[in-house]
Amino acid sequence: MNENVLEAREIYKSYPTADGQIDVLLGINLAIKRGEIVAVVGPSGVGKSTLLHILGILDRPTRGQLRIDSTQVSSLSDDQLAKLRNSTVGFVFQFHYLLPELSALENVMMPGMIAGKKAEELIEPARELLGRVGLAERESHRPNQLSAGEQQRVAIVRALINNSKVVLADEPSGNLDFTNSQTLHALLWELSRTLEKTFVIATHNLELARKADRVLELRNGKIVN
Amino acid sequence: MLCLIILVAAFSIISTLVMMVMEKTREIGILKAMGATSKSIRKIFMWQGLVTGLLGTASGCIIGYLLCWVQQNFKLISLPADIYIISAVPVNMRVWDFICISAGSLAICFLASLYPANKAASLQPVEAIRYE
Repeated sequence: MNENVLEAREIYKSYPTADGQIDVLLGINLAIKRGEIVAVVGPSGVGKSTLLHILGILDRPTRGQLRIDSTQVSSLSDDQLAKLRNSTVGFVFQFHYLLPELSALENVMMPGMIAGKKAEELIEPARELLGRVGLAERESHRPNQLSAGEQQRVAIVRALINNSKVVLADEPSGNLDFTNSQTLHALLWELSRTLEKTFVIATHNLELARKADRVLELRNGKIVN
Repeated sequence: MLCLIILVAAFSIISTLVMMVMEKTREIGILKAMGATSKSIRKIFMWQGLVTGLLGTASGCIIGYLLCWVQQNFKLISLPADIYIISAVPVNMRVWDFICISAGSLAICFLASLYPANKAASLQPVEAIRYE
């Protein structure tokens, strides 16, 4: 059995602009094992988010091969990618990106509903996950009734509801104060260890990066360590 | 006249739905990031257009029927009898007319929803999430 849940080979990403082509990623090679916590660090604009978007099949590389949970993704159609994303990948963004019209519980249930599950089968797992992050009492609250830290905790459990194998977090604590960041980091580690999830976290926060199993430093479009 | 009304109605539906797609761009991106397919996003906006059309058609039929009934019974819009022979605007309500006009309205709503729904479905998740 392949222990690697994510494998990228020679990933390149360029963007055409009016002033010519911008090369963001220049041949990324990486393999991430099940249950591993990997931090991606590097200065702003180096391509951390672009790499995460490609690893999470939100975006296609200009060239290169990507394998997620033994599935080669380059030949898949957009709809097949969407289904794979739904079943395998969870996202946590810098800003929570919760749906404003829905309650915390409904937001957590949403990926499951997209997968075609019935609301009745999702309520209990969603409640259990909200309870794990200390938000059992806030399940009926809408995002604007939650603090920034609480919103981000809802976003984290939303990424886990479909039993996703990989959670990609793009600056998850970038919008939080020190105390909330600490709480969030502890939570990410606890969830990763207890649920045996793979986390790939793009961050500027060196303290967060130091706690990871592995740190990948992105510089000039390449991983340098 | 009818053609003009249809054109205005179709443009209203298209512009309302295009505005909604623009307002909801980030939410569309979030749904796509969670695994929603283009087909399901298209379906959401097609339903939105059809529900708007159904409500509009139903209220149009009810208001039209009431106005016709009032005219039939109370002759609110009168005509000078010495010029037109008849003393009020005549009304003849036929079920078939209501059916045809309702079907036509719904068809227009369906067609007018196609462009915004396709626009929403074709949004790339990364671009949609970054949309300000």
